[in-house]
Amino acid sequence: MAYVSLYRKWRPQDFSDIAGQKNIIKTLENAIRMDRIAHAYLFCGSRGTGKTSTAKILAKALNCTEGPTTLPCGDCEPCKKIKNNNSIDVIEIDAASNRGIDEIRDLRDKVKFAPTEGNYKVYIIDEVHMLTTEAFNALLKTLEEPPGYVIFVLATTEPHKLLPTILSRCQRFDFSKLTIEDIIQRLDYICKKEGITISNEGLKVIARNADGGMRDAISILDQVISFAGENIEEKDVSVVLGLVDRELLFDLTDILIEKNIDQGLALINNIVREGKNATQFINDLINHLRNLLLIKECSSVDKLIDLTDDDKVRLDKQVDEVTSQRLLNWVDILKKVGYDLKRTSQPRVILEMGIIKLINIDKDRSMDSFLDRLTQLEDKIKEGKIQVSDSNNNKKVEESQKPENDQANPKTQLEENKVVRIKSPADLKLEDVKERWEDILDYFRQQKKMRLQALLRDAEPISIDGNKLIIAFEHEFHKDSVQREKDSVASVLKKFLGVSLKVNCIFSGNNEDVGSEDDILDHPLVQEVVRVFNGEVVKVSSLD
Amino acid sequence: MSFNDLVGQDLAKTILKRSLKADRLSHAYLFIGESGLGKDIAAFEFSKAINCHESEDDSCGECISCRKAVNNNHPDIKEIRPEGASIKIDQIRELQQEIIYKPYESKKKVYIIYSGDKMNIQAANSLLKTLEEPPSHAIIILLADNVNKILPTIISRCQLIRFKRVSELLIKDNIISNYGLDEKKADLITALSGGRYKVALNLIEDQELLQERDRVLDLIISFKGIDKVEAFSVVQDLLDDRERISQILDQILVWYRDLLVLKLNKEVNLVNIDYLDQLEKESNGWNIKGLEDIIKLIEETNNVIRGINVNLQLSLEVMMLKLIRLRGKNYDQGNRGYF
Repeated sequence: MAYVSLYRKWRPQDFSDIAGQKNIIKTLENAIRMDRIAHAYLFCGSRGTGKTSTAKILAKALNCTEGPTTLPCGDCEPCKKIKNNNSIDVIEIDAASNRGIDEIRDLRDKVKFAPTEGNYKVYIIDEVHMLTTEAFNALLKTLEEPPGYVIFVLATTEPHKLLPTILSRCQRFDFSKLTIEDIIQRLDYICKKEGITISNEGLKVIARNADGGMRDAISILDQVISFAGENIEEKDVSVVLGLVDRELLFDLTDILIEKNIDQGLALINNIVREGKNATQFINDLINHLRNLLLIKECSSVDKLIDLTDDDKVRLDKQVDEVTSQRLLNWVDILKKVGYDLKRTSQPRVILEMGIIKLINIDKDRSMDSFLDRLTQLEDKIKEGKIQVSDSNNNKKVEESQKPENDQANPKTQLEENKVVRIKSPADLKLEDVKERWEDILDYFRQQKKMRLQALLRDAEPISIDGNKLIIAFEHEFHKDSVQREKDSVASVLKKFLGVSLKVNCIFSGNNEDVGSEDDILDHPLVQEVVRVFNGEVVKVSSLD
Repeated sequence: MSFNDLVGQDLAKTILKRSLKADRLSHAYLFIGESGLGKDIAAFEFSKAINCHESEDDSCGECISCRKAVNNNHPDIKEIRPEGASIKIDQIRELQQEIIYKPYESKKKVYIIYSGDKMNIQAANSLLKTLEEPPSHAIIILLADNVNKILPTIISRCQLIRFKRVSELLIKDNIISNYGLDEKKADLITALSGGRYKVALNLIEDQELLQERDRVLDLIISFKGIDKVEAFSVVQDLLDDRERISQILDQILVWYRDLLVLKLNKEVNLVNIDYLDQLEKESNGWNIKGLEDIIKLIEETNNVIRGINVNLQLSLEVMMLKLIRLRGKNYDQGNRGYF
């Protein structure tokens, strides 16, 4: 016989063959035993969890000559025909290709004919989420009350796309993703039957990368066999999957700890050039950091971490060099990188940006990195390493921190000092406010005060009068809205500028005509008013 | 013609050849890798090799089957390409009807689906059942640039073959020996290709591409002193190249990436090596944060343009205005650092 893919060859043939899904199997078996078979089932769950296979086994169990039985013989005529997909009583419909109302009408017409050879007529409607709404609705009546000999099995990966009226008419079974142990067990079984030797580690790597899908796992196994022949090592699996060596993860973490951008970029370059699987690499790295975190935080981790002893020793070493907050921040950044990678056409740039971010976390201004730096500082204070030198000098940094932060720190210090120095409003210049204006707006946005931010965006600070900051708006309505919330604006200003300022909002319409009486009198609107009411202007005064 | 025509991609070649030799052909393959890595060549050679009368694990190029394939009239090698913007369900339905017929003259009937990531949702779903259990005489090869745009249910049914970027050394050697380029030009083209051999070939064969690139780079360099009004005219310029907008944005992205790399004082791995002077000049004024923000901005714009049906002109204008603002905030501020 010609070669058939392993996942087709080793499709489970009876209930005991199905990996995982213990509850579902038990329920179905009991239903058969107690003769309480429902007329409509819905099997849902992610890919490769056994939906279609279970449906077929159910069909066999019902139509076997000895049936209905929980142990279909597999040898009788109906069983064989079902296995080869040519039984007349088990109708497998590809709902994704036959998704219109006409196909369902056709099905409805044929439902009334009794089964020809078995006890039941089983309709397996696969990928049922792709049916059109009309088709679903046309199915409803039949699905609710089919003839006694008809069983519907609907299978889908996306149950949320089904109508509630369909869901309520079916017994629903949710197939869960398979555990790594389940997959390993099944793969091991297949390998033994096929005469393949594979190391335990290799199996583990396959199982981990299958992400809970048995078909994925067997596909990978198949491919690895094509690649490596009958003796398979862990490294063969890694090569086929494009995995990054664990060694590399240790190296990269070292690089992150040492903040060596050179090596970091070189390493990324290597990964890209080798065509490694970037998303997988990020996931692996996150997993590595997770291991570090667990070792750091938990007293006994043997059950949670699945690594060789050598690796554990190395992990232990690395753990001492990092704080958990820092690990958490790294994971956060990596999560974002992973998300961006899914959409980009330039994975290399995204990876590079990611690594720069990870290393330059000190120079980042996001909340996460502030927290990170704060904890580092706290730790240092706790250890009493800080030496405060002359405050006129911008150097408070203690010796050991200097080399790693040499670029950013003087600047930071400068900025921070500025905030502290300005105590009285008189020192504050308009330029200072303008300089920080964007930051202030950003702050509003981060505080989820979008409205205020949007209103302030088209305003501009125009002058400082004593302890008042005057902000000019182009629209009256904006001015009024901000005026109502001027206290919260003032408090933010204080946070950024270190001075308590009162906020005064004025309406400028157009910046030039503020203040000048002639301009206001010349304004077309004013003139129009004068004309319509046939009046004259008595006095021009500011509303404030 | 044979697998040897494919530059690099040793892993892919090995897997395919070994499965040919061991007669372990899967019924479905998914070739994944960025465009320009040679997926189409590999798929074509593979389909030839499957039906070749002479050679066991490659195509001989001499037998009648191979010759027919080369002349594009092999009855058992079928190609499916996007019709317009996507592959439609009707194309897949047609495949399903045809695929049940036995091959006319060969062992296997091979379907190559180009741009598999361009299948629309209906088409992709309707392929599932066929992809899982096609008739024993059929092999389906799917090609896709981005694995994340393929349904997980499709991936799980296929043997995944990954295509990598080719090492720069290999590309350089190849273009020098095949096209007799001088060292300097070969270096430039190698850097621009970024490990994609076909991109390198296009650059050599189509002189206009390089000129086009110079034009775009000049435009990018002119961003320096630009004001808000000029930004709109830049967008007009960009709109003239509507079809290539995604590549142009990539070019802009790479430019800023180069600036960033240079800013970090790493001269290695620059892409636009021939513009080193300008890059150096410009990178001095920037701070890291600003460059990061700009790269993020361009990347987002590009995603929006490619992924969603948006008004191209508006999104480009917004991008340019934001870019100017970022420049105002981050460029030439001395050592203002990250605040």
